[in-house]
Order: sequence, then structure tokens, then C-alpha cells
Amino acid sequence: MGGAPIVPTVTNARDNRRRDVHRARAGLKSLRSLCYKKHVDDADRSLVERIKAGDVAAFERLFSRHHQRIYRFAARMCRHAQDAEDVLQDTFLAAFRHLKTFRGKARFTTWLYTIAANSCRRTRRGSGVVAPAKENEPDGGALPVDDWTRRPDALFLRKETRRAIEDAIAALPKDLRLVLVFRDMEGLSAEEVSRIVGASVPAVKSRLHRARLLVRNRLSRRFQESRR
Amino acid sequence: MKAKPSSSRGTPCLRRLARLSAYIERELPSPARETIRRHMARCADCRVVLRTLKKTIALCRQAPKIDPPRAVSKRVLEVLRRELARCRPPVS
Repeated sequence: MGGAPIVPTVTNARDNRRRDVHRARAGLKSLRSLCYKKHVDDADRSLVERIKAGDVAAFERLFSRHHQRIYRFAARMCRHAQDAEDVLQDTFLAAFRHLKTFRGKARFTTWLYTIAANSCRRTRRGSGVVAPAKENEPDGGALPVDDWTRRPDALFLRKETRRAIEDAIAALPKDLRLVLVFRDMEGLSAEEVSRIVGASVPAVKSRLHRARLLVRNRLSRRFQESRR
Repeated sequence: MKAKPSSSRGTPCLRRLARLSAYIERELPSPARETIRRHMARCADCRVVLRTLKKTIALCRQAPKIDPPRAVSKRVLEVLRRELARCRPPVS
């Protein structure tokens, strides 16, 4: 019995504990989010059933529940107040006219976002400000490696910084912007985004990563310039 | 400062960068995750890319909400009401 007992190192034990805590927190968060989504979905389905049964006034309730998120999405996609208003109006008119096609297989919000995304494609200025093609390759130029995360927190709260983030997002090609807005700003899951944009989940994840890298590269350049 | 090896297509650094979002969101299987973690421990440039990418995601998530102006909501609701009054209820 000469072998030394195998004792886990302190680092391993700490890593495992951290991982367990992270998983437990993530599990709890996901459970809360599922409960909330189910509650929202049930309420939406019940309103849809009422409208289908002839109570059209219930549609106003659906409007008041969802118009803010649709406007927010449209404003981020179009970056023009009039276009955002047009998208909001078109989305709800189309939703009302085609409500019979909503079978309740997807969440109502996913269905509504799909209509809104299609409406954004038709807007006059919907494409926003798109950067030249070369700039839209995350690895197309030299990768800036300035660590701007160590700048004071106050910098990230400034109006100019917020504007820089909005500009960087607006400069993305539309298909990348759509995925980033849905995933990182509206908080939809990759599966939901995949249903809305009609692409596979891996394709959505790949677009999201490219979009994030592009925004990150633009912010890096912006912070580098502001330092000079 | 510019990244040296990581800026040309196809280098090992870039191949890892392609999986950074999956790494950040803990979607990678353990061996791949461990490979990236070990690489991060010795590659300062990639550590910066990781940190700035995480911060970018956080900044996007914390972006201030854009609420529709009250007048806009009112206008659209009026249009909807007219449409609701005009149309027959949708039949299931």
C-alpha cells in the first residue's frame, strides 16, 4: 500500500464548486424564464382564441401587450422613427388579418417577430447604414487587440459610447444585425431566432458570432481613436 | 497594438476565435473548452479578444430600451381600431 492517496487539488475542488454554482444559477434562471414564458404564452393563446371566436376587441389587449417590443425591434433594425412606426402598424395589421394561420405551435411573440422582420425588409430605409463589404469580414483586416475593457465604467455609460454601440450595430449587414438584435438585445433563444429567420440553429450561432466580432472590432477602433 | 499571428486567416488563433461565442456561452464540450482555456492562459492577444468580446455582448444586452412615443402608440392603435371595426372577425 505504498501509493499516495489521490487528493483533489484545491484548485480543482474550487473550479468544480464554481461550475456547480454556475449551473445551479443558470438552471434556476432558466426555470424562472420558462415559467414566465409559459404564463405569457398561455395568456396570448387565450386572447387569440377569443379573437378567433369573434371578440375582436381582445386584439387591443394583444397590441398593448406586445407593441413595445415590436417598436423596439423595428427601431433597432430601421433606425428611423417613421419606418419603426410603419413596421409597428404593418405588423399588427398583418397579424390581425392572418390570425387564423396562427396555430399556436410557436410562441405568439415568435410569430409576431417573424411578421415584423418581414415588414422591416420592405421598409424604404430599412437597410440602415451598412459598412463596406471588407469591413464586414470579422477577420478581413488586422484584429485590434487594445484592451478597452479596463477603461473606467463611466466611459461605457456616456452618451457617445451608447451611440457608438448603436452605430456599430447599424453598420452590420442586415442578416447579421437581425440575429444580433434578436439574440443579444431582445433575449430570444437561438432556436426561436432560427424559426424567425428560417435558418438552422448552427447558422444562427455562426451569424451571431460574426456580428458580435464585427461590433467588437468597431468598438475597439472607436476606443483606440478616442484615446489619441 | 495589432495582433500578429491572430490576424491572418487560418492560423490556430483564428480557428479558436471562431468558437469564442460558444466558449463564452458554455456550449462547448469539455475537451474543446479546456483547449481554449489552456490557449487563453498563454496567448495575451486572445485573452484581450475574449475580454472585449464579453464586454461587447454585455454592452449590447444593457443597451437602453427604446419605447415608442405615446403619440405613436395612439396613432397605430387608432388605425387598428378602424381596421377592427371594418373587418369581420378572423375565422379559425
